[in-house]
Amino acid sequence: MSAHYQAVNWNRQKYIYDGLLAGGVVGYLALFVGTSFLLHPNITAETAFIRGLGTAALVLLTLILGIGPLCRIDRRFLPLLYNRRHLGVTMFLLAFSHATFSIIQFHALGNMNPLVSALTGTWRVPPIDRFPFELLGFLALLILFLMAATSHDYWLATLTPPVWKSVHMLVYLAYGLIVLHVGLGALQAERQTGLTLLVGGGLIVVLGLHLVAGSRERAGDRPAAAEEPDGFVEVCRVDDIKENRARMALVGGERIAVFRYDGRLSCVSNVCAHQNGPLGEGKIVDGCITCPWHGYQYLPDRGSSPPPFTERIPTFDVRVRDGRVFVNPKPHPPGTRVEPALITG
Amino acid sequence: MNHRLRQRHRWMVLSLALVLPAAFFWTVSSRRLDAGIHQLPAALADPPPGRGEVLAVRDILLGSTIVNSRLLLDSASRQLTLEITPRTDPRQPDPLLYWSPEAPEPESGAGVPPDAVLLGSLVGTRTRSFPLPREAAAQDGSLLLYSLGHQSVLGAASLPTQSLLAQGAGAKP
Repeated sequence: MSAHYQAVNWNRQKYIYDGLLAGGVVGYLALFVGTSFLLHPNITAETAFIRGLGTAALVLLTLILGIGPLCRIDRRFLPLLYNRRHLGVTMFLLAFSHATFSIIQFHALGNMNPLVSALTGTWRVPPIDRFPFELLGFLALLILFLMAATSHDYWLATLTPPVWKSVHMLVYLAYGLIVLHVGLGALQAERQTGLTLLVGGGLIVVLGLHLVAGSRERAGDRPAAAEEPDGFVEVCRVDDIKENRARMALVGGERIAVFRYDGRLSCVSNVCAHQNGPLGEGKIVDGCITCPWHGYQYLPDRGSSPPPFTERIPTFDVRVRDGRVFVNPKPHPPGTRVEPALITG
Repeated sequence: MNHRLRQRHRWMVLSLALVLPAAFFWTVSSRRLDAGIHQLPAALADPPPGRGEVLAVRDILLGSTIVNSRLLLDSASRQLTLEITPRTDPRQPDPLLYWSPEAPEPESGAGVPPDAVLLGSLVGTRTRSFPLPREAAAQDGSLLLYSLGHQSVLGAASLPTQSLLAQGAGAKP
């Protein structure tokens, strides 16, 4: 979080994160190439390296797609989410290197333009093993490029979070294309049990985690109870909210978060202004609502970041009656101060 | 807005969960796998052992690979057969053995001469027999070790069949 533009807000956590990431990638490539030479003595170094890059990108993509639902299921995985964009850009660079070296190795020795050769060389379907799997990889790479190029707060602010998130949701399409790229490409040519298990196992993990996390999320999307005559709706009981934590509810078609702190209650939009992270899954730190994703902070009664920061989110009227919490579904403009409800009795 | 995005996200994941496993299973289950050389029946994988009298027993250096060789002559059919046992695996991508009337200088990027005849694969250290082409009985030639992966000749050694035939059975240079 910064009040001024910086290309990357480096801090200790990011250094550690990126150091582990770089070490992991280099270690994986070394292990993969070494194991390939042991298992397949006739493999060339170029081919082993190309396969290593491809599988490294696939492993990273599987990890990236698993982080979101993992954090929903268990908060201990939240540190992985903090710098997920660096994972994504690294994954794109690995995939791009895989594509580049593959084209040089397998398509640059003929008299045809290597790109034309790569994208048109196997257009003979059926049989299935002649499916143009390179085209699937190419389309996935375009999506990954779009995502990597916009993986920055500049683009997040310029495009606005909803548009930015819509663009980045294309990762699921890219993942599907990559699974088919491997299934119709490398797995057609050889009996690669390890690769089959990697893709199939990754598919089960990614989809399984999403389905489990999605079913939990669905519970939070149930509309709040019936409206009061003055438009307020009951969202929960006071006792349901732990100190310095929040309770989320679906009110007026959007999620809100009611925070309890210092004997008071305040209600804000559940959507962080930075990357639309779930504020209700965060907690109050130093008197501020703190987003669990990237640590953006807001004053609970104002919905605005403490100076000099300028982020603001909508606030809602909240009241307590008979130990129950009621919220007015009509939001105030972002950053509007609302008197907190006092918890009595 | 965020709620709508979440709904879209949910539908995307559900669609993926329905389509992708089935598509992946289809790609794996319907693949046509060509049998590797080690999966072929022995009779197909290895040509039958050569027959006839031994004309020569030599160690040949092909690139960095030393192979034990025996040149056999079937006097009834006048068929020459080369029996090869690499001492070590050539450890090159797709190593192929050729007989050629010419002897090109092994160098990076050197191709196989157009009139060279493919004898077979030289993967591993198994003993195998390669019937030589008829021309080999009429003229001297060379053995070439060619890497299909590297697209280059890795090594060449002369095969003086004329002089060996002239020396007759039992010649062991």
